[in-house]
Amino acid sequence: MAIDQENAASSLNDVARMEKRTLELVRYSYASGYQLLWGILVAIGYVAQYLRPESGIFIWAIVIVSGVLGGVVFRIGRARSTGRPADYRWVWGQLAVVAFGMLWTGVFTDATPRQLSALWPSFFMFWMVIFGIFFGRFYVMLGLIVTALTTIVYLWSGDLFLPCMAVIVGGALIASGLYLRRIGLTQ
Amino acid sequence: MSGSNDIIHQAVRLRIMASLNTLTGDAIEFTKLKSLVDATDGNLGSHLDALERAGYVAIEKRFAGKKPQTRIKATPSGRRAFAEHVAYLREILDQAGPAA
Repeated sequence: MAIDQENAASSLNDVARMEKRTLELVRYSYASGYQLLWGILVAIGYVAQYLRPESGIFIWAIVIVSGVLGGVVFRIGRARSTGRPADYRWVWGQLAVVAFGMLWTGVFTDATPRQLSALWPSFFMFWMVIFGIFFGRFYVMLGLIVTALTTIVYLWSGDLFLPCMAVIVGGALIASGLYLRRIGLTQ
Repeated sequence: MSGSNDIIHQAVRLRIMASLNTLTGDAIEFTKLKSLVDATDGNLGSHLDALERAGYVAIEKRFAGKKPQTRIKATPSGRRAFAEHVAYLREILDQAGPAA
């Protein structure tokens, strides 16, 4: 079969598109574990803070440390299953976001626990949107929806703010993690 | 210059091989591959038959619980043939030279 330049270019574009789409689904599969972990931890964190507001800092320190350590465990598991060296950039990225958030939590001494509880997930979701612009529109949608719901709950949920945040942020991460696990590809 | 691979060059089969070649380890389920390459059951099945006859893919049928599951992966010779065909396509473009 003779292949002309136009056909060759079109075929190579098709190949590049398939490779990109396949890698996107592989990434979704890996991300599903992180999202389930963070979803469960965050939901527990908000409920625990609602029940024990005086222990908020301690509760969130445990949540964040558990999430980051869980990320390291996922990386090690992935490295073992693929036989490739572990890539810890995602973990460093999480630590950078946490450090940045802690810096401004410390600086904003006038901020109320309610304001900080809305700021943190919005900050994480901002990075989720940026990540999604490069690696998959699913994350853009997730980031925008959770940020919008966080704003609504912050403004109008009254005393049920923390339980609502557990449902919205924790629930969104858990639901999206389960969805990504269903559509994702393992490698 | 190496030659064209007529088995792989067909549009759906090229997409199948591109996807399978990207997955370096595990096999992919039939239903996920179907949505990935945007094909119907029958269409994908016939193209996979052609690729399997050529020795480019391995098809495994098994049960996941009570559900039958078909899993597909590229064979080493399939990966080689795909890489050679992509190199051939690039050569065609390289011969054209930079656009004026």
